[in-house]
Amino acid sequence: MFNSIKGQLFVGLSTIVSAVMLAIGVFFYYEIDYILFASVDRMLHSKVQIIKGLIHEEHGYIELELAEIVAGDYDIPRSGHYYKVLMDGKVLAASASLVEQDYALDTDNSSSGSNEIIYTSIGPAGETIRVVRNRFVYMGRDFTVYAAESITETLGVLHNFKKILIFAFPLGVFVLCGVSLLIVHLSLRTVRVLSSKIEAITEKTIDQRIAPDVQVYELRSLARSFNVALGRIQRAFEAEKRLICNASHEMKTPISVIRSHCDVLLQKDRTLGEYKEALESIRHVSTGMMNLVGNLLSLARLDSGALEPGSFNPVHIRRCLDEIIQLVQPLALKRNVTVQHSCEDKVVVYCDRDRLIEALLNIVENAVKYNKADGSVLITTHETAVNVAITITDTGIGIPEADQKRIFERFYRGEAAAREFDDGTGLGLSIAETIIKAHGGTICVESRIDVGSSFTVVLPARERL
Amino acid sequence: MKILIVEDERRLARILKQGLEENSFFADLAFDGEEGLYMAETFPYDAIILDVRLPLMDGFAVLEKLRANGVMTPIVMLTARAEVVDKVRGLNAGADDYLPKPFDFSELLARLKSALRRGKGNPSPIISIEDLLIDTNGHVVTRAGVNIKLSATEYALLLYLAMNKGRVVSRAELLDHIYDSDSDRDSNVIDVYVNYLRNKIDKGFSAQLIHTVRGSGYMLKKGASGDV
Repeated sequence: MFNSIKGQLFVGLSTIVSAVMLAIGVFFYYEIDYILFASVDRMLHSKVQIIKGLIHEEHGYIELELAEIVAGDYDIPRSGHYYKVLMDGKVLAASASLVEQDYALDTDNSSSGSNEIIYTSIGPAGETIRVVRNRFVYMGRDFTVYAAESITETLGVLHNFKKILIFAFPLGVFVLCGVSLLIVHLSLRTVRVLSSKIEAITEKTIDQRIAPDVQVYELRSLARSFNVALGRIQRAFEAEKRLICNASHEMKTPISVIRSHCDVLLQKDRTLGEYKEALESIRHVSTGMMNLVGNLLSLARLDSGALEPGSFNPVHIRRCLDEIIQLVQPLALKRNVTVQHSCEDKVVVYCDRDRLIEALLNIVENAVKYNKADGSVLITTHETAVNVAITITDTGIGIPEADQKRIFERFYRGEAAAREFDDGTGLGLSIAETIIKAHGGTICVESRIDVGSSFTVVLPARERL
Repeated sequence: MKILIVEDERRLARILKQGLEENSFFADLAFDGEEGLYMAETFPYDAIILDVRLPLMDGFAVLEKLRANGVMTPIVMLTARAEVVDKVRGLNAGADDYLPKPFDFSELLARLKSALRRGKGNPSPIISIEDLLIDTNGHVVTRAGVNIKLSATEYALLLYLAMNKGRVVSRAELLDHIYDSDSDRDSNVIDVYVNYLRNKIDKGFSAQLIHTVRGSGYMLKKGASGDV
């Protein structure tokens, strides 16, 4: 129950509203009680004053002129309006409504200190009455004036109010909670609509977005967050799709070469030399395909997050560079390019050693491949407190400015590269960049046509905590 | 029949050239879009095989430029992108056919021939002039039901004349269409081959089909005498 918005609302609302309603009810009950009794008491007090004013002395007798003030109410027996005046303990005058002149309006005869007291008593009709008793001395005699009023109606009003408090208020609380639940239920319908919209998004409709402005205000941020997450997933998804699409596209051309070779060769009988030539050509093309498959696997591994900083170890850059130069040596000899590095012993970076070698080898291989005959490749390192920069400088053909931004794109090959070398895959630098970024590093290039290119890799010197 | 192959994958281009030449076509190669456009606009080709993804200028751009400049040579596009939109785009831009990579060479050949025939307004694979029948699929030539054996060059010459039957074809045009651009060109060679062809086709028949148009060239049509 506490796990649902409705349940929380129901419990919370009913508790709070009940408490508030109860407090308000009790407060009003006593307030109304006070107001009603106060008004009755005021009225009785003024009647007592009037009666007091009517007592006078005439020819040595004390009299009370009744007829002038008595309205019909005092004449009707048990009408609920009564008065009585005592002089020296004997009844001087009493309203006809009392029926018996001696009807005791007193409940207690104690002569309390104050002149005027108010109390509740029982009237001649058995009704509850409110009585004001006023004692005073006039012309040397003790007078007691009683004025009384039935308070049955007042009590009835209070009684009804109590009933409302006991029955209507809980009902009100119940209705209020019910209405709130209904509103919540209706409000949550927008959540259900939103969730059905989200549910309807598949890999084919991943470009769809939830329009935040159409949502109720409270759901806008949810819709926006969802859109942001969806955008990230879409980008990753599209990158994957593009990679597969590009990969199959890249495979089709070498397969076409192989098939066309086979188809044409099989058209008629050939000499051994022709077969040999065709096989060599097919072998060459399949080498390119092998590189492509290898690179695609590397990229797939990198994309699925194979590089975790947790698996990084301290690695001596000098030893890596020695190894890279050894690996690139056959190609360098073939192209008559010298490859050297000037790295000192103690330069260390935290990295995945094999991946770092793969990244740097891709760059160094390019530097050899796109070099001039008798050219050179120089690898230098520069260490600061926070990072290590590795710069690979060649004396090659250079990269046009328009291409410089694009060489890190997957499958992008510069015009010259595509023209001169048909076994490239257009993935080498992209792999290098992915590896270096996974290490928290950066890669950039500077190049001048016919002068050479210089790739700088910057890696953090310490493990990122 | 002379074909221009515009394809940046050189190995593929060369093997296609070899394959076409072994099927009595002649082929020139261009390795990028700009070179392909220049060659297609400059030399008279009977058909063009055009790759879509090319350096400098892509195949669609080459195609659109050619059509805009009034070059109506039949074009078969090759591409590794097999998406329908690409196919539609290519065909809408004026390509005659569209072949996704990787393809069967025999399919390329069949589509190329079909495009060539349609280009000449004759969709049937068999060309007939009187009782001379040329089956362009099997490279079989018969006259009055008798099989005639022709060398590759003779066949190429006859095919070109047949494709343009009823029209005078100059020696220079024949040279352009039955040799690739790298060959030595000598218009006397044409006269020699036309003679060979005449001996094989017209000899012994009253109705001569190969006509010499003095000062202009040759023409294949039905007619009474050998010379006009």
